[in-house]
Amino acid sequence: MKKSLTVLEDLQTEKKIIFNLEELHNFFISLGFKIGKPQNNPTELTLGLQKDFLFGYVIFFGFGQQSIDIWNDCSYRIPPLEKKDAKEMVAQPIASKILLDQYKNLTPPNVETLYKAIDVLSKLSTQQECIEKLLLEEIYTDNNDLYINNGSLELVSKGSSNG
Amino acid sequence: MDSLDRVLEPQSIAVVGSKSVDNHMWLRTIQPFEGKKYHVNVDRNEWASAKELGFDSFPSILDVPESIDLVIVSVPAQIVPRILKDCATKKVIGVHLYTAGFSETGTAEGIELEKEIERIAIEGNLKIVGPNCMGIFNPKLGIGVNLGRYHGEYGNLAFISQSGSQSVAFAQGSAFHDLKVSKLVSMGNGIILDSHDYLKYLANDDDTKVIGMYLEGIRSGKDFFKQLKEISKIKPTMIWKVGETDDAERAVASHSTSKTSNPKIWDDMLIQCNAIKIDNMDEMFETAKLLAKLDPPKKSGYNLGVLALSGGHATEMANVFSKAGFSIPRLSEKSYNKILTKFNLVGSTYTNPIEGRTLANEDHLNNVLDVLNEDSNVDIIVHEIHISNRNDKLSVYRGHTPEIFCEFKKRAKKPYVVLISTTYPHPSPEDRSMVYKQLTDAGIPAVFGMENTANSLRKYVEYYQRK
Repeated sequence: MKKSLTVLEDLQTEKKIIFNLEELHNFFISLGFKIGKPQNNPTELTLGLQKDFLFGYVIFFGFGQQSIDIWNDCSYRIPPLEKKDAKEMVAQPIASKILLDQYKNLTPPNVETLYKAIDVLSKLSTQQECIEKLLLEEIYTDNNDLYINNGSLELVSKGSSNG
Repeated sequence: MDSLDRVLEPQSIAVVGSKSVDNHMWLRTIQPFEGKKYHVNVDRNEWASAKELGFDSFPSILDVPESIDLVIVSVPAQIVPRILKDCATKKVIGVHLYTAGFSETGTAEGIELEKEIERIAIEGNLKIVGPNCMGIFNPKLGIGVNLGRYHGEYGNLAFISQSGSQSVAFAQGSAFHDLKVSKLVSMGNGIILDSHDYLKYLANDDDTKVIGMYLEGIRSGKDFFKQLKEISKIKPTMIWKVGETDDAERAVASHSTSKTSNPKIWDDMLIQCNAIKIDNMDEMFETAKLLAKLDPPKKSGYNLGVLALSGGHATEMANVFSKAGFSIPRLSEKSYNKILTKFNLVGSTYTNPIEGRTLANEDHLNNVLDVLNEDSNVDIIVHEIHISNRNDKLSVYRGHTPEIFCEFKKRAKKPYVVLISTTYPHPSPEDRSMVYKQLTDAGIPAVFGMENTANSLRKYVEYYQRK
């Protein structure tokens, strides 16, 4: 069942709640993203927004969840972010030195699309406080769009949304 | 005048404490201070010894006839609330609480007592330095001289620390490195004045050019991030933070009760702010030398002209500096032609790195230095030396004494860094100190060790690249 998650605060409950990709379909569309995977043998990316107890919201970026979990190869930035911050953030992971260019038969990510997606998360972080973690786990780009193949959204429980 | 100015640059100070506890340590630590200074102690038997140190004594803060900017408190923890209430009534600006025994003890009693003094301080508008700390070292004004052991002369390096012992070591180590401190604060538990408050103050402190911090944790991440981002735009700020592993985090929690963030988020926060990550005190000193003594590189800063001690050292330097992200480029043909006008090829190499017997000739060495100074492929000149003394003849480079480097510094158009080799045999401490002083007096940053130089130079270059 596809829910409309445009007003996130309305969905907060007393307990933490996690939405899956199907439930998030309309929410991601409302953010300007597409669901699925383009056909151009794209490079897998990960992007997300989470709450840190010291700094509040942080946005993170990496090349797939495995490289983040195993090698800690990702970058974090504290929003709000400018395009300069997004550029540095995308360039920082070690994998960026190779995967932002043509690598084997992979299509490199479109960095301008990525910068726009980071800007979307940056704005989202300033508009509400109820997200605990938004994880765009398997994402891809083509020249115009950012595609999400797997993602989840965790909302903070009511009464603990001050971060 | 901002109220924090009156805490760190007070015009009047009172010390509350007993000789029987600390032998007037806190009177002695402000003895050179030329502003108004008072001793507060209910035990009149100790007034005479305070008078000998130059202090008039009073039984209470409220009895001091004039206004007080800063009160230093060294009394048992249970008495602190009463002293703070007096300070609030007296409209004191700042209070340094040397006293320990609060939240850092982890006891319910200590935590409760800290809450009480925090409440009194907020209600009384008192700027608290501490508790549980060594307080302020301001060598310009002669305050806190037990920390640095010097006063009158001062430098442009500020240091903020959550550890008292790191503060003392830094104050004295900075003098060893001929850097000297502008302001130093051992901030302890930081219940009112937190790390970001000190950053805000230092941003506007004309005496401070470079800032270092030793942190175990911070109370307000958002405030710290905001101030660090702002200050890094105008002053290089080095952050040495511990608590990066589970064991270290546990040690931090028991020392200062600080909570730490994910180390990766912390490190990236530093990158976002263009702050400089530091991992130990020596690294802080070596990096501070470059930041304090060198102007920003005019070009990228990643292209080095290298003068080495020998062929083996040239290859090692090429290895170490290129691994650190630097390039040791070929010079222009014009430069090579000029070098070869005064260069004996036997036993020497000139492509960059440059080394060899021919550089024992002063004219040849000066020619090479001048070529590197003019060559547009070179952003920074790194000159390796080794201090030796045979038969009372001091040599730092191919038989030369430091004067030739000091003379070159006067005509250098680009950053000039001396790398003091730590290879064997080691020089005597006296020779090392003498050469080091001669170089630093000439304004040349002299860094100990090849890896240290490469590492610190990269941090200096990265700061200006990202600025």
